[in-house]
Amino acid sequence: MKETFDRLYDEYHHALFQFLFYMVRNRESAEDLVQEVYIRVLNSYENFEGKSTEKTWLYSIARHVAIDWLRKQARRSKKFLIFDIKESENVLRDKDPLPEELVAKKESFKDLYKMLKRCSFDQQQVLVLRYIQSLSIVETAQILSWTESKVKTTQHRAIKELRKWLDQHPGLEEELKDGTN
Amino acid sequence: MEPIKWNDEKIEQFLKNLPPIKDRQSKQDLYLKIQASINYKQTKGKRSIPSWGLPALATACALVLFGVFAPDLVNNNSSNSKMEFKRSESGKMESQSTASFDRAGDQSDAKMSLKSAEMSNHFKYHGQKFAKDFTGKNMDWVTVSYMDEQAQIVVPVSFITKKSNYLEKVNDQLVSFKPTELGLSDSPLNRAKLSEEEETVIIDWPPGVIFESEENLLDPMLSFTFNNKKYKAEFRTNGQAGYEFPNIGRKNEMALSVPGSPFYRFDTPTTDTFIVSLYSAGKKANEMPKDVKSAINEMDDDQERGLKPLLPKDMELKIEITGKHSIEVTFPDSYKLSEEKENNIMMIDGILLTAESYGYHSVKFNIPGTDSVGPYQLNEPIKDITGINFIQ
Repeated sequence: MKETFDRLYDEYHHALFQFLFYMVRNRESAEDLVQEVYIRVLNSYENFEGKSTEKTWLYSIARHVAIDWLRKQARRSKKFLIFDIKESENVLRDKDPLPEELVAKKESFKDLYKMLKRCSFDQQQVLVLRYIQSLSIVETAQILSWTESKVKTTQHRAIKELRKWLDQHPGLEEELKDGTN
Repeated sequence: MEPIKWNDEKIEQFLKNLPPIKDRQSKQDLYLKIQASINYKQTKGKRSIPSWGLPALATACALVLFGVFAPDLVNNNSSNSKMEFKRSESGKMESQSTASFDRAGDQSDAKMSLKSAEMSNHFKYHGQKFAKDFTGKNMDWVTVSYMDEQAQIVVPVSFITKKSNYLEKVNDQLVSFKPTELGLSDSPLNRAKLSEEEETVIIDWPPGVIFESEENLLDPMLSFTFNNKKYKAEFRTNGQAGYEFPNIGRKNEMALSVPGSPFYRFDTPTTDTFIVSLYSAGKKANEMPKDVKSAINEMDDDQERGLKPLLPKDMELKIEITGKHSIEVTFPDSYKLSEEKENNIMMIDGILLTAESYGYHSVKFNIPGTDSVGPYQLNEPIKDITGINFIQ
């Protein structure tokens, strides 16, 4: 197991962690989730049939782990809505601080990071995989179990959507300070 | 500082240059955590029960049961049991019902059955109604479509209302209903001014308020909301004819019709469960099964966007057209109803909705050894079902 872990870690860890972080937007959660990804991968590694590449297989597991986490968060938000309205406000308001790597960046990056969350989940996945992870259309389609044309369409629309959001909200700096810092 | 002028290339370039985020766990720490977790799960799974284990377990269970029932036995008149039923035995939806029990035995049974229901029934299904439920009462209903949180699925939701003008009923629900509490999103209609002219609904939005993800589902969203009363939607922007959509560009009107389509189950993150059609998931009318037989037999397939089958996998149903608007659905002899009552009701509801969408308003079910499912008596055709996913 150690040998497999070492190899997967050296080859893919940075990319997987990045992917998880940009999907869940919380460093601590991404750290927990990356563990879960390895647990699932190592438990099923022997059954990996090689129908897809190892890389896309790992990403699709990471994607499912992220989706499960997001669903749990949504359920938790619902519970807070019932029992504690103040807490629910915090949960629903993206209270996670900006990662320190982003704090030092220009405002435009922060704007983009903020607006990324306003895209649909499908669009976010495609943007993260295609641009932040630099994966090809074919790889992205395999990870998402979509057709290549659906990836292209979603990507195109995501960029347009993002542009619309960014154009509509030029003064995000204050909003970021309130909500995410 | 001058705000940046965004364009597609700039957005792509900035996305590519978003900073890499580092995992602060060391490789060694991470491995140790993973190893511990895998070992723990394996040990837990393989732990054998010692020879004294079963008697001890039985004793523990008996003590727990005694602990649960003893207070009721001592104080059997002390309280009424508040029970939340999803459906009463007569099949009518009830949000809350207070039942009092005279005998401790009944009370215990009720608690036990409630507990087992809670254990097995983790979702809240929103069902249909009989048209007769509204007859002769000052009650009516209306359907308004919402979208799921990811804007991938249109979820039509019906509400019981007072008798009123259709558009007024839609407007009332848009104001009062909070879709986020059921894991749904606000409707784009919340951003519109709605009015009507004869059989046309006029939807007036301020410019730029419809997003691409919403635009894709506009057709089913408007059709499910207005198709009962209106045949056409006319778009306006601040009173001027037409609306500029992000993809399709300027559009003045849209014909409203809901095509025949199979129905599926859709769960939201709040564990609310709805029945939605394939048309709700953005599939076009020409992609739908061509007839009711194919449509019902496709209801056991998994679909994209989280739609789940309402029929058991690979179940072959015999479907006969028995009249212009009636069909008969016969289940295989080997078929056994699910132990989960709500699943059975949803299956029947799904078939009724699918049949209805192809113009068949009456469905006779033949399920071996079964004469009723939830509110439905199966010894006669089921007809006059109305609405979808009723919210109380």
